[in-house]
Amino acid sequence: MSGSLLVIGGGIAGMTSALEAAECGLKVHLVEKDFSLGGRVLRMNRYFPKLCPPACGVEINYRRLRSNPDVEVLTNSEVVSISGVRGEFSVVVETSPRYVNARCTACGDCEKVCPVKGKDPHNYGLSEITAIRAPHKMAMPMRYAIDMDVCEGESCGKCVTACKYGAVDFAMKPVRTTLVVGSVIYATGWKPYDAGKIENLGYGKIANVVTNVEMERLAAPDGPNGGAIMDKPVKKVAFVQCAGSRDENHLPYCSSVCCMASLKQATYVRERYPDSEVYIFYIDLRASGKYQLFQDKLMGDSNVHFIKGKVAKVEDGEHGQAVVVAEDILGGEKIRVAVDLVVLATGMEPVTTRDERLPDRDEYGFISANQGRNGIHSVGVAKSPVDVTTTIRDATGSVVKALCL
Amino acid sequence: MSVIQPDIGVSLRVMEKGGDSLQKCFQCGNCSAICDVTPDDDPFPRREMLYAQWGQKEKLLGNVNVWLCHQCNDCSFHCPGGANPGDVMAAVRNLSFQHYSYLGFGRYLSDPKLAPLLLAIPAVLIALVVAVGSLPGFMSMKPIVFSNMAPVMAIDLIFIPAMVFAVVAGLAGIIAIWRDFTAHYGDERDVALIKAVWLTLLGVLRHDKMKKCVVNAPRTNAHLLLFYGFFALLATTTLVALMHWINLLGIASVAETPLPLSHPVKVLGNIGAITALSGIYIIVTRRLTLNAKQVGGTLYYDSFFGVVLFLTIATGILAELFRLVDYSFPAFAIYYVHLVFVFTLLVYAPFSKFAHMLYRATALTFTNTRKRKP
Repeated sequence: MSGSLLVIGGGIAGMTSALEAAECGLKVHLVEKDFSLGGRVLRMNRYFPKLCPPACGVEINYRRLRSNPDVEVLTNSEVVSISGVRGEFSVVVETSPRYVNARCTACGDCEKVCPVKGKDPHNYGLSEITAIRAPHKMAMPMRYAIDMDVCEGESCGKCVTACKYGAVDFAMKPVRTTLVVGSVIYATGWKPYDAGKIENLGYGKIANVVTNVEMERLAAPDGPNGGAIMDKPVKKVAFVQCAGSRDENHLPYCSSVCCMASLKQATYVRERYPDSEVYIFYIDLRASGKYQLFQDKLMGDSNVHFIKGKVAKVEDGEHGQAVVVAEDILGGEKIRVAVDLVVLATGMEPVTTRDERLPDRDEYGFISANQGRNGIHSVGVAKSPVDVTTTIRDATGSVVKALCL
Repeated sequence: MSVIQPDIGVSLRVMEKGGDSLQKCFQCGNCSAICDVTPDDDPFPRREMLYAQWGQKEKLLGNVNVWLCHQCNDCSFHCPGGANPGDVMAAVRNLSFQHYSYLGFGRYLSDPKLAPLLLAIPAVLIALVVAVGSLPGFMSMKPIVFSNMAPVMAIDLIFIPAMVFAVVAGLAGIIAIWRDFTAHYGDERDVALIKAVWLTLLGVLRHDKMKKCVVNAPRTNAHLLLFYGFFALLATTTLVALMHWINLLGIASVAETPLPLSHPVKVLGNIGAITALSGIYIIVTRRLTLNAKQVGGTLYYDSFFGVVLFLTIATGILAELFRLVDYSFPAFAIYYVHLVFVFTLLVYAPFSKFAHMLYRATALTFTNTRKRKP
């Protein structure tokens, strides 16, 4: 049906696309597979280059969504199939049960009695959370949900009794909905590359080796340790650039954001611990355009050391430290630096969807941009590895194509 | 300001000799960081990759790092760009021993078109020995005695001058490369030469450097088998020749060939052959079955050396077996082929990949004369 649009993915790309389209008069279905909108950006501590928290931007989007009757949000939902042609796609969406109905007020009484805990996906598993919980503090909808992989089921039932509103409902079943839309925008985003696959960098084997997405949580005030980064004052941190990116054995492409992400994270360390030393190991720094100014500022900090040379190994050191091994190309020596924390700047991998018929993907899994004529569009990291600013521009621009059908 | 004159010809020759992935290198330095053999204060092979890309011949030739590399291929295996630094270093070594080989003979051993000619020379020489020196009717004499076909004296008339030539050529190569190392790094020594030689010898006997290899680790034991097997065989051959001359010159009376299987020298030879062949078996099957990123690419000059070494030992064993079961014709025919390969292996050694032994030992000795940071 022309005049309507399906947006797959409720992160910053999907929310922007849905809102821009709806504000131009399209009827939009926004489908998100998690319990809440917000996607990856809500797990960031701050955005570069302004170093503002993502929450405020997301909040503005939430307000626009709430006040716009033309966007229908389906969380905990996945697109199962898409058939038909441009102008008249038939889309089957499956909404999984969250076992908490709309009567939930997010009072938290259920959470207090829940006896089981699992890894909190919002914190990339760095902390634990009860089986029944709000997805995170910035959830939309702000409604609790039960993680059935952790929950002991109805036999436990403590939450059912605790809820004053009768909101917990174990009888919920998956629901399938068929939507008819004129065009589709894939805003399916990314996932961090599995750092465990990069054998020599010690992730999962050596203590205090984390990925850049984990670093965002470790530095976030609402993260697992209140933004303290580690449970002791951080003295030395090494950032390992291109951890799995620009590497034919892993992700052959440049993920484009990791240089700026590490420069940004260097500021987390330097702000919180003024005596700290930061080492950034890079092949070449890709802080393009105005981001160069951000880089220049850090380069002026004598406690931030830029070392040209890819880290090939992370080894166990003494006193719980980790040792990064690299060739200091400009210094002419092979060096070993012992640090308290190693941050692997892992890249972005495109997320694949359950519906495998559409769309065309390139050799790396990104959804090619030139499918607009079929009524299939891709935005943000679903299309190519880009930062938030570029994603928002791309999402806004792509809506024009969806409007043209 | 220093001006670099790129020599594309040098780059192309490196690419032709197995370094065809050279231009994929984007100088990230992963190779030098992953390498456990490289010294920390002069890391390789990232810099050598750059020299090869820019055709900096003089930077590559007098470069000790090219020879400190033992082609573990840890660098190639982990290279993010698929530039295979291990193969590039091997290609540079090939060009290097072509360059330093006496009278430039090395290039003949790296050219497949010349292989028939190279084999024809010993084939004709040994045929001459047989034609001139063999006892009439040696084929039907029992028991089979190889020196009835090729008398030790006649063989040595060819072998001794040829080996003198090989040794001179080897020494010339060593002196030439040592001179370039000195020009490159200066001649201040921290350690006496004799001590450096001793350290090198110990390191080579233990395969210290090769033991640091990770992805191609099984090759180290295979190479140890081949190394000790080969030297056991070389010792056997030398002892047999010595025993012959001791008898001939009347110094003493010792056992003559064919030696009984229980004779210590014979035992040494047979164990050496089996040891060396098992080493070759492991190396060859790994090269044939595993990814070139892990074991390195195999080029003509690798194969020529490998095949000649294998055939030398294999024909020796076969000739012995046929002699023991008393089959005259195959025994003598194979023994003739064996002599041809022994000549090919030893006399051409300073010019073939065999010369890695000379040049690498020289580079290790040179490095051992100066203190590098650990």
